[in-house]
Amino acid sequence: MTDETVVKTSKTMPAKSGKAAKKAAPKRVARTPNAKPAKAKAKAAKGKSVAVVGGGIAGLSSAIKLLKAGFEVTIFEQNERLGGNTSSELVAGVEHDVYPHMFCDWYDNFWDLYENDLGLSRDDHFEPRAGVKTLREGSKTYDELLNPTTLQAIIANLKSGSLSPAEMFLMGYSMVDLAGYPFDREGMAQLEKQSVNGFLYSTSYATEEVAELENYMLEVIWSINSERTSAASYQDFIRHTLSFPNGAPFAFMLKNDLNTGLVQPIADLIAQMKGTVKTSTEVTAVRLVDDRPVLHWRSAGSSGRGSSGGFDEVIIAVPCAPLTDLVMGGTRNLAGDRLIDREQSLAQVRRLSSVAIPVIDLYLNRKLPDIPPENIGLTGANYGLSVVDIAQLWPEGEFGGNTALVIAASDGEALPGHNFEAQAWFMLQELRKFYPDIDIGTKWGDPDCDIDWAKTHARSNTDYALFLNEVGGWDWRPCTAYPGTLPGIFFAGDLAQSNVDMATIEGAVESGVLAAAAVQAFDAERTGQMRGKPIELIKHLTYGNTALRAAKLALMPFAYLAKGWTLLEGSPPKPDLKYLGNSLQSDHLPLLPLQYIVDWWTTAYWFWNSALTGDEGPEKIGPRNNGDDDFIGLGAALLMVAGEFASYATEKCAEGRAEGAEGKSRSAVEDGSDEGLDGLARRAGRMTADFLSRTGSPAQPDPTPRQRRWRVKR
Amino acid sequence: MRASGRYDVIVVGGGPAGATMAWALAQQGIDVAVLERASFPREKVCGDFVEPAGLRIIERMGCADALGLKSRAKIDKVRAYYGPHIAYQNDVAYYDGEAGMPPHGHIVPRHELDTALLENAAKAGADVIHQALVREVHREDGLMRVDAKVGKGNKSFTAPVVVGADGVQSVVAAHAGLRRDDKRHIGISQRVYLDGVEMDESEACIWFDEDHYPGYGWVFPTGNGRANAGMGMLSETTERFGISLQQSFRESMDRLKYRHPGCANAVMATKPLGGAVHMYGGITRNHFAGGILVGDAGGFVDPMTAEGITQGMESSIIGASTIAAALERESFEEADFARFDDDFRDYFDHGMLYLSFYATMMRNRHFGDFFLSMTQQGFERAQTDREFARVCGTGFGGLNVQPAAIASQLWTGIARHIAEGGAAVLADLVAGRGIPRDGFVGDWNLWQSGWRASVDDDRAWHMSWLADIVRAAMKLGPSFTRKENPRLKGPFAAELES
Repeated sequence: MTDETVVKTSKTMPAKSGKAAKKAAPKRVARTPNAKPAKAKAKAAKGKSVAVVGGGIAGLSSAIKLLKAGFEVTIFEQNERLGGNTSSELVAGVEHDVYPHMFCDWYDNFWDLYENDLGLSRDDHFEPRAGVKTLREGSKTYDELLNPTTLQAIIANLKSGSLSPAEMFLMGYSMVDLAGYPFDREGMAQLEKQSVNGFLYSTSYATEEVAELENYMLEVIWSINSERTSAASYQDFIRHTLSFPNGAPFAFMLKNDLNTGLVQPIADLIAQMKGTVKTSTEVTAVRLVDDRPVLHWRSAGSSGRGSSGGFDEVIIAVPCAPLTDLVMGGTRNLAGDRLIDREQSLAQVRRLSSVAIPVIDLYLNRKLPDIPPENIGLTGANYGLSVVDIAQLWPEGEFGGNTALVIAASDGEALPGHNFEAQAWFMLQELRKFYPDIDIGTKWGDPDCDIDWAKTHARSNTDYALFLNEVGGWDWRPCTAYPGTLPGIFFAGDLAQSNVDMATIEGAVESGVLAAAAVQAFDAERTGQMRGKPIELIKHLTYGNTALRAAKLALMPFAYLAKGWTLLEGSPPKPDLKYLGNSLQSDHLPLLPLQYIVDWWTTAYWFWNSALTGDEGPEKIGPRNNGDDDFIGLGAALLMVAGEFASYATEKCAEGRAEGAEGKSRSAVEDGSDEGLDGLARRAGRMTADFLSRTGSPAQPDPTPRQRRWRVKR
Repeated sequence: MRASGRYDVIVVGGGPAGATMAWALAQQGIDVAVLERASFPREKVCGDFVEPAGLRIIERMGCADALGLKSRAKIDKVRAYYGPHIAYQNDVAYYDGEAGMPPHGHIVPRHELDTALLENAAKAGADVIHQALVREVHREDGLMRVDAKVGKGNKSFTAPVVVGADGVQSVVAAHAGLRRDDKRHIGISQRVYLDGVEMDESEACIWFDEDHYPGYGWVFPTGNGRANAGMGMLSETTERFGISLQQSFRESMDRLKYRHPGCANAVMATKPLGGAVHMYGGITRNHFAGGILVGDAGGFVDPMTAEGITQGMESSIIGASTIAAALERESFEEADFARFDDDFRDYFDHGMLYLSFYATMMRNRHFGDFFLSMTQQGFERAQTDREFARVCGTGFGGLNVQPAAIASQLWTGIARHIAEGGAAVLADLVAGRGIPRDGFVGDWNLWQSGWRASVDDDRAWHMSWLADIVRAAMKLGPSFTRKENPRLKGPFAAELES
């Protein structure tokens, strides 16, 4: 341990955190005036200094968990502010989030952090959004896609107009199919390294439109095409998202900028728990000296020698590019082993890829009418543009009643222009195709237009690239720990392997919690004593394989009918390359029944397989992370779905009745034939009742007096 | 108490289950000791109601006279309140004296009942040791050692067999790693003795209130103007919803004065006491190397009514034959006692798992209004439909639970209710009168609002509740494969058969 860390640890709290330690400390000092207490402190502090490299949400999560458990934590962050991809930048007095993030309902570990660790209320600080809107070029009206977590939402989606109802159904069906598909995420099987697009192609029911919508969703949300996205990773996301019928919104949106609403409260909590934060500090190398991690760092941007220090444990929670640098080791001749010297498999982190999403915060001088509060996807736009009006989300004072659009180019690599200013201008021009009312002027910074240039801020985000879940990428991602080769070194971040596969905030938080738990276990093994309460992941509740496959079987006839419908209804394939896929795959109606039979037997096989062997399945089938989620079994799922259908039917009946009652009184007057219908229905009702009471229990006395019993006022 | 402390069997706990076990073993000439923590007579939290099946065992053991059963009021009527409304006031339809059971129950205060049963065990030859607080149970070289504080000194007892009849906080169960703490199957209760009660002493009274769901209250006359009054609820519910049982108990007692005319002038004669029971739904394994668990320690408690006196005694009589067989073989490994699990499951599963299934469904507090409405309608139907009353038990759960008959009665009733309600709805709709809010539609809406409230409140809990229902339903096999409930003939018949 270097001098610096010794000084630091002796300044911070003694081993036992919390009230007990605070109370005990002064007493000891009073009784022993010599140097003993300091020594005791240093001794108690031994073995618990943790460095967290990277102050993103993953690193911060692990830091909070470890501080709570009584570790001494130092966070190294290269930028001025903490937060990484969830940070915001203060430019000319205005906060600009790196990205507009969506927080899903199932982000259990994130909500645990926010509500239990930070003590903040989700209801106060987040706004639920039932779905997203899409806008076509030239259109003034928005289509809406809701989170399919209620029957109402599903039916609204089918009627949404984004696709024909039949194809919308196929879209949903493909999700259910993928969710229960027996993939081997371990990646041992080459054939199973599939892209989402490849998966769709392998089905008999997908259509070109379904594939395009799927691709569009992946592109807008994760900046990756469906032909590059790992199907097994996406499966993991869908399994968590498929929470029908819990009515969960599509996402929660933070009602403030990320720094004010999320990062600053975390920083405050860390300061309160006496964690050390070193911002604008770049970690240049990690070495293992005698099996102990040693860190080298300097202030960001400097070229000086900087400092170094030993830690008991190091968590590396940085994006792909700096991760490669830290693993491969840099050029200077430092003492100790590089990580790559010890763990050769880490060389593959070089294969991991990420992409920057250019973002413009466009502050306008006026309020645009009729902008919905939801995230808006601009259908068919170049550069994968999406828009959200933060003036309807953040505190009003910032905006003076004007509109402020955050425009993200998810397909930023398609942007032409040799510098970012030129690229930003292309984004604005594309935006104007969808919103011709916005006067963007003649060039970037044109004062004579609708744009408030003083507040508007464009950035390329090259320092905040988004991790991409590419096919086969799982194998290259670092594990939380390598106990055999890298003692005391742990990995976190959305790129680290965790129970949430797709790059999400939940994935980042989970990786942080996993790393913190691994540090705690490592420390406990060395010291023989668990420090603090055990750090534990919160398990998600998802449908098990059996329920998902049963759902697929139940929906299968409808899916093939829908597919048949699209074939009959659609125009004959045009002589266009775009339709080649369909004609190769399943555009021949006579093949459909055969494909149905094969699909049914295959699915039935896997259904029974999971029904008989349990939802987690033998290790070889189904994602490995299954063991870390709680499952909804088939029986409970059936009861739940049946209950929801009944609930929906009741609601519809009540609505129908309200409308019917109005209509009835009018039609009864106008239309004499109503009498006949009335009599018929009454007779049918009586006959049913008679039939049932006769078949029921013949020993029953006359039912008339009992009828009153049911009308007891309560 | 002998100096060596060596016996064939040590029964820990001298309640009805322990006393019955000691009696059953001593009858067969087995050298048995009972270690009882208290010195009798002592108070015990209970409703004090002994159903006909329990009286049958008490008579068989020869305690009827000692308890003065003949001079006690015969309980053969019951009154059930739903809020202020009396849903049922009639005789208990299935108290018909079949299979050697008297056609009535008795309210026997536990300090009298337990004392008489334990004295009876001593008379049969059991060595009853009072004020013996069992601290620890070990197994050494195939021999069980029980360390207890007896009076003011410590003493060790040894025997090849130990029976845990020591209630919910069973030390024996803790030794065997069989202590149950699943709050879904723990009922908690509070009761008091009232004086100045002027009710019909042959009529028991129970009540159901929306705010005390799932649970019920009772007032049982013990004679001479005294009554046992109390209420019980499910532990899990009180915890989830932050309900104080003490508060609910106080409210219940306040309401009782207005609710039951016979209790208008009642005053509390004792301090209210609280207790807990482990119900049959949570039952796992009740045998271990060197012994078995009976009574409350083994979870032999009705999942609907939380009655356990009869069940405790029955479990002991069933278990005694396993112990006798083990002593005969002189082999005391786990496998030697496994027969007990087979026997008690054979005897109890038929009815108990069926009741447990209903108890599981009714566990969801959000469905309180719905299930209260359903059970109220059941009581009201029972008022006029005596066959239904006989089969379904009318409030006393009853010994003779007949799952197939209940199911057919219930479901045809429900089907008719739906059909009639549905026909009425159709007729009303077509006639343009709008849909009536009561009857079938009312129940449907109650179910519906319960469902929505439950899902919205805690979806994960709701799912786990549904999963529990599925699990409970999967265990219903034994309930439907046999026509007659084995409990009807009683444990002695089962003993004779085996």
